[in-house]
Amino acid sequence: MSTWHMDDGLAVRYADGELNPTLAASVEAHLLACDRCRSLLTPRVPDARLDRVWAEVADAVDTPVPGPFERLLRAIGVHDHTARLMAAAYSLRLPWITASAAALLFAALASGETTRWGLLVYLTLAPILPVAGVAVAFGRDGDPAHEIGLAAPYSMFRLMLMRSAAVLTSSSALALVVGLGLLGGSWIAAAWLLPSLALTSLTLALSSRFDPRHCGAVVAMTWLFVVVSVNFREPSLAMFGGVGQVGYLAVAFASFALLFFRRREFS
Amino acid sequence: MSEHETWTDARLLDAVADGDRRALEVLYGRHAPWLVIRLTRRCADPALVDEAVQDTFVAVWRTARTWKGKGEVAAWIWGIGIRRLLDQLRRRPAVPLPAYEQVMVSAEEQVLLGIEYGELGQAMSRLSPELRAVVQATVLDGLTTREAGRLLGIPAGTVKTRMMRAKALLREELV
Repeated sequence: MSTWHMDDGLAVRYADGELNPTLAASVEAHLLACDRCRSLLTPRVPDARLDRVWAEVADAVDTPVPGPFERLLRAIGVHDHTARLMAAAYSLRLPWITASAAALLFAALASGETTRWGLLVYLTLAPILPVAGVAVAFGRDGDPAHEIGLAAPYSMFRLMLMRSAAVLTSSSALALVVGLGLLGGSWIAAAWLLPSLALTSLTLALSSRFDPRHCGAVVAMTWLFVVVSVNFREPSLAMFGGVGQVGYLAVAFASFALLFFRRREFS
Repeated sequence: MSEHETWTDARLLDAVADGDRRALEVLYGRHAPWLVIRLTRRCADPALVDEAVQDTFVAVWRTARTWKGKGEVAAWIWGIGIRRLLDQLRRRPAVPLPAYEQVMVSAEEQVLLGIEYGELGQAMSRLSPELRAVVQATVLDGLTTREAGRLLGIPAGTVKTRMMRAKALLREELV
């Protein structure tokens, strides 16, 4: 390090812009490497100005940076505040979506097995993912903004429906991509869509009375139990046939009707 | 006062990378003043300078982990600061730049320079203001040819030819 340093007089003249360019250039080059001379300049800038700029910096630093999902929502024209509310849900965060994708991928890979169990695993798992996602998307534990949401002048019912729709869309799109990619274009790749809708809407309807997480768990367990008991002796895809699909549609309709009648329970 | 005050810049920057807001505040306290003054020499509009300083420290907060850990933290901050100022200037052009205006060098300063900085200082001060501005922007401020052109309001090609002329003149003076 050089032995050359600024004195107070030089610091004042530099700060006031009175140094000739060459001397100023030397000062500037020196300042980058000298802590002591930099501190000589501190009193040359009014505290009020520094405080004002710092307040702006602190503001910008404390404002959270919107995540990729929130930016996507904004890009497709969702209002800022709505996007923030929806993106607050855990199941719309990247880790959750990544985990879902991984689970589906393995299930779909397993379906390549010659036995029918592999395909069955995929068809069973695909409808459960949105149920789990919806179950943790709102409610006391699943929503980090739950307390704020209660106090906000915003319909909880509307928020719940919006979040569920977003979860359903994202996980269904995921399952569809994986299904079509690995299972080919057969109808089987989409056979879980109605069961998924039925299970999700059932979870929502039950959530009007019970904790959404419990509802999600119960619905998922029931689904698993039914699938296993029906296919225990001989695995078949009968559950996903025409009659089954109509049944799922009926469950979905009934659940939505129930949900509509009980919508006040959510606020 | 916290122990942060005793930390080195490098340690503070590491802490900022880990989301330590107090460390950012201490860094700001150390580096904002000289940055304000040095940027003021490049741009006369205090509002633009304030914006640039603000953007700089927000960028420090967000990109602290990209600092390689080598060299002076102050130099790293300057590199961000001058580019943020360029961004501001691009948005609102046509601001006079005092550092690049012609400055009459007094006889007294000439002598002072001669003693203090020897031949290079004299040779530098004999350059025309246009050539000196290019040397300052590229050598001292560390800007690329294109960035220097934007700061000075001239095409990048002109920056290159002026830099070549400045080098030739300095060589003549010094040899």
